[in-house]
Amino acid sequence: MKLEAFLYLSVFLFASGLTIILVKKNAVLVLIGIELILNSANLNLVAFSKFDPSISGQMFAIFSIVLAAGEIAIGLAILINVYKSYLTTNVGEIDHLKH
Amino acid sequence: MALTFLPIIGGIIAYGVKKEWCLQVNAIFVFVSLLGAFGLIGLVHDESFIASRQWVDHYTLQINVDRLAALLITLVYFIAFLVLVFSVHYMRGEDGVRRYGLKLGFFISSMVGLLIADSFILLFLFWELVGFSSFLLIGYWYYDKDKAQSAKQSFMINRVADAFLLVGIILLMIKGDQSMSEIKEPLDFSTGLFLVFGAFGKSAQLPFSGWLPKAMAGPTPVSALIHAATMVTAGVYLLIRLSPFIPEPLKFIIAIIGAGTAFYAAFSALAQYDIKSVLAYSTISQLGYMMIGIGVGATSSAAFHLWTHAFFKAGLFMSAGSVIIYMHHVFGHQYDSQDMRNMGGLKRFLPATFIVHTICSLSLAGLPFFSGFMSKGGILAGSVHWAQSYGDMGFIWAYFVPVLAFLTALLTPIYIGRQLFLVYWNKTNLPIWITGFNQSLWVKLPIFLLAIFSVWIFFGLNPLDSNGWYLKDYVLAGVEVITVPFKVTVISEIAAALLVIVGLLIAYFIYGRGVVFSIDQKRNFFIQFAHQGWFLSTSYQAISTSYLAICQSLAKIDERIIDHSIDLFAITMVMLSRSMGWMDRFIVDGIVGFSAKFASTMGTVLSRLQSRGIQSQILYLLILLTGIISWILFL
Repeated sequence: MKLEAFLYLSVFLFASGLTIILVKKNAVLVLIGIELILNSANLNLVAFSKFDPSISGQMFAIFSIVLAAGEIAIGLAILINVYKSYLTTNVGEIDHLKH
Repeated sequence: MALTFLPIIGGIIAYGVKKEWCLQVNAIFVFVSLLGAFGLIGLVHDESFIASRQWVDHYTLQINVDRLAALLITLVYFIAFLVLVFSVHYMRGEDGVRRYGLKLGFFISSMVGLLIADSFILLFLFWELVGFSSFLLIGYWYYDKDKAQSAKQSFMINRVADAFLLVGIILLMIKGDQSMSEIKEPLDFSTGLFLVFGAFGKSAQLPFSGWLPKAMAGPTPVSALIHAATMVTAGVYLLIRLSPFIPEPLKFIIAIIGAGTAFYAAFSALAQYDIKSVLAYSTISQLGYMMIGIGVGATSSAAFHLWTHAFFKAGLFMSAGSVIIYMHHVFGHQYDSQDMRNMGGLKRFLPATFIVHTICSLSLAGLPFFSGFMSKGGILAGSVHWAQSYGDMGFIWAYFVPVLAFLTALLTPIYIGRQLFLVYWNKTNLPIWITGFNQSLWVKLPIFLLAIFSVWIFFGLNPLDSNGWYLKDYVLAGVEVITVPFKVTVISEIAAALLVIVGLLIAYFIYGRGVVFSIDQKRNFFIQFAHQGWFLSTSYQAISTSYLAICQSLAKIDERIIDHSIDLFAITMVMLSRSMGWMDRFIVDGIVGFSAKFASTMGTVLSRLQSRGIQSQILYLLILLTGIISWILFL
C-alpha cells in the first residue's frame, strides 16, 4: 500500500480527536479524544517504520502506548479531583480559576 | 540784624500786655527800630554792609544793606510808627488788638528782612513771609465771611505770582548766582521774565492786580502801611535792584504793562463808590507809574516816586480812616460808612482831616509845589525821551507808553478830585451829623506829619524840578541812569502841570457843585465797566469756576468710563471662566470617561476571551499554532 493512505488515515484520526476535544462537553469524552490523537500519532510512527529498513518507529510506538496509558490514568485522577470541586463533568462549566 | 527782629519781638511781647496799652508797646519798639535805622543810614553811608553765613554745603545766606536799602528801611519804620500811632485810636475797642499788634510786628519784620536780603533764598523767604503776614492782616476780621474770602483771594493771586518768582530764582541759581550782588551780566530773557512777573504780582500790575482792591477788606491802618508804603513797593524794589541787568526787550514789556496798568486803574478809580477802593486803584495806578519809570530807564525817578508815594498815599489812607471813624461815630453800623455817596460837606466837621486830605491829594495828582509833581514829572519826561529814541528807530508803538502815562496823569486829578468833592464839599448827604467832633490827637498827629512830607521842600529845593531830588545820586550810586535832555523835561513838566489843573477843573465842574446820588443810579455800561475794575476779578472768578466745572464733569465721565470698563472686565472674566469650565467638563471629562470606558470594554471583551471554557481556549491555541507554523514554513 502507499504511504499516503496511512497518513490520510492518521490525519483523519487526528482531526476527529481534535473535533471531539473541542466540541464534546463530557470530560470523559475529551479524554477519549486525547487518546484518539495519541493513537493517530502512533499510527503515523508505525506507518513510517513500514517503509523504513530500521524498525525504530515500531519501537517508539510501543513506548508511546505505555506512556499514553499512564497519562490517561493521571488524567482520570485529575478528572475525579475536579469533579470533587466543581461537582460537574461538563467542561463548559469549568470556567473559573477559583471556585 | 537786631533791627530786623525788633518789631516782631515787640509784637510778641505786646501780645502779653494789657489790652489798652499793647499797641503803645508795639509803637515804642518800632520807634526804637526807627532810631536804629537812622543809625544804619550813617553806617552804610560809605560802604554797604554785607554779612553772610554758610547755611548748607553750597549755599551761603547773605544780607546786603546799601544806601537804598537803608533808606527804605527807615521809610518802612517811619510809616510803621505813624501807622501804629494811628491804630491806637482806630482800633480802640476792638477785641483782637493784641493779635493785630502781633501781626503788624510780624509784617514789619518780614518787610525789613526783604529789604536787607541779598541771597535769593532769603529774598524769597521774606517775600513769602510778607505775603503771608499781609494775608493775616487783611483777614483781621476773619469772622466776617466776605472779608475772609477777600483775604484768601488776595493771598492766592499773590501766590501765583510768587510761583513765577520762584521759577525765576531757580533759573538764576542754576546759572550759579546765589545773591543779587553776585549778578554780573545781563539776565536771560526768560529768567528775567519770570522774575518780573513775580514782581508784578506783589506790585499789583496787570494781570495780577485783582488782589489789591479786595485787600481793602482789612483795617484802614493796615491798608495805609501795606498797600501804600511797603509791601506793594517790594516788587518795585526788586526791579530797581535788578534794573542794570534786565535786558532791553524785557524793559519794554515792563514799561508797556506799567502804562496799561496805570491807565486801567485810573479809569476804574473813576467809578468807585467806596473811599478805600478809590485809593486802592490809585495805588495800582501809581505803581504802574513806577514800573514805567523802571522800564523806561528812569530808575532814579522810579525810586523817587516810590519814596514820595509812600508819604502821600499813607496820608490819604489815614485821612480816609479818620473819615471812617467819624462816620462810624455818627452812624454806627446803620449805613455803610465807607460809601462816598453817603458823605458830603464833611469839611465842616473834620477840618483838620480835610486839610491833610487835600494836601495829599494834590500831591498825588501832581500839582506843582508838591512832591508828587516832581517824582511824576521825572517819569513822564523819561518816558517821552525813551519813546522818542524808539520812535527814531521807526518803532512808533513805543509812544503808547507816554501817551497812556499822560492820559493817566489827566485821570488822576479827576478821580482824586472827585473823591475830595464828594466827601468834603457842598451840602452834606448825611441824614444826621454831629458837630464839634474832635478827632483824637492820636489820629491827627500822624496825618499832619504825612501831609507835611507831601510838600516839595523835603525832597528837592526847586519845586518844579523833577531831577532835583536830594537823594537822587545818593541812592543809586554806581547805577547808570539815563539823562533826559532839558527841553523834554521842561515840556513834559509843563504838560503835566496843565493836565493836573484841567483835571481838577473837570472834577470840580462835575462833582463840585452838588451831585445827588440815588443809590440805584442808572448805570450805563461804562460806569459798570469801570466800577468792576474792567471785570478783571470777575473774569478770574469765571475762569476758576468754569475750570472747576470742567474738572467735575471730567471726573464724572471718568467715573462712568471706569465703572463701565470694570463691569466689562468682570463680565469678560465670568464668561471666560464659564466657557473654560464647560470645556473642562465636556472635553476633559469626556476624554477621561472615554478612555476609562474603552479600557473597561477592552478588558471585558478580552477577558471574556480568556474566561471561556477550556475548549475555546484550546481552539484559539490551535489556530495560533497553525498560523505560526505556516508563517515559518511559507514566509
